[in-house]
Amino acid sequence: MEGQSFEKYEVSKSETGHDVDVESVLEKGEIVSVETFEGYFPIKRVTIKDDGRGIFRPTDIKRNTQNKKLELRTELELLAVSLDKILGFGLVPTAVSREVNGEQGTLQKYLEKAKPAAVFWNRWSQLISDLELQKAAVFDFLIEAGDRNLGNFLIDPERKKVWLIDHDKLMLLGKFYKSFLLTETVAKKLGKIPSDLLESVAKLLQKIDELDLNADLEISGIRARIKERARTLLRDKEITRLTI
Amino acid sequence: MTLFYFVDLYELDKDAKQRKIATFRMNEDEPGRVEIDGDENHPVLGNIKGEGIFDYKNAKPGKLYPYDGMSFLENLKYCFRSGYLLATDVQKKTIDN
Repeated sequence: MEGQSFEKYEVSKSETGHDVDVESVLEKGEIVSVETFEGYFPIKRVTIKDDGRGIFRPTDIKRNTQNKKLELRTELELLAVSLDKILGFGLVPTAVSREVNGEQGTLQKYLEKAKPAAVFWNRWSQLISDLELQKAAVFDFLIEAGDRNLGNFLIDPERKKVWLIDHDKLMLLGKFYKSFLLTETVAKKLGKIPSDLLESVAKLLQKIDELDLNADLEISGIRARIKERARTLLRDKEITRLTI
Repeated sequence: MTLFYFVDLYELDKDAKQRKIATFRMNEDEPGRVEIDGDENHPVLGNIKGEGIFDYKNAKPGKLYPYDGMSFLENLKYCFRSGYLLATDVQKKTIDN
């Protein structure tokens, strides 16, 4: 039914903070409509029967830029979801791998109450809690976020919450924007990381070898890089202007 | 005949339906000047004008602003690619004078 949403499932959280029922709806829910947005990248709005909406990004997005091919590697979103699950931060909206209209890609829960930080411009950091900012900074520090501009994270002012999106090649393997979340954490003198967040980082370090990454990702050294960053954070217990 | 290059930028409403925020438009005869048609008070536009965007296409350091003309237009689609904010490719339009 039009107008319903995933919210009715949000009461059932797994111990990782991710919503098992939403995951199941995204994976198996009956798709009633698919609409391709206006835009360069062929992103789609997917409506699931009775259960709200998702944003679908095909895995194989390739675009020619002059002589080079840009592969967006949207499947990296699933890596971000896995890391967030281990950390138990609840920062990355639930996403699954799914085929939509014959195309493989990632289907991510649409967050109707959240807006890109750019919509709030220079007020965004006043609209979230300090702990939420610190969690997001830890996450971005670990993945060495290379493109966390104000369009690549969402703010839900009602819940004082951050949502991290757009974990693709430009974010995980690029070096464009220094994360606004990291720089704001340092600017607000919140760089000293609370002990429970450090415990989460230690848990990630313990479990990251169990993550099943595909061969390409192993080559890019992403796992080793995250482990090194986790060790740095556990040693320093702090994010500073010099380490971001 | 005047040739314009333009990029549309969209946001999503609560039903995940697109709404155009602005059109970034450059006249071929004035390559260093991108005009923005849209709600000038929209914070996303203030953010773009104030903060600029990266040169994703050439992976060059430094930021691009509307006064950078075509380079700015060409990079909007990489900067705004989430769906929540989504830019089109550079399009052309000819207008009779």
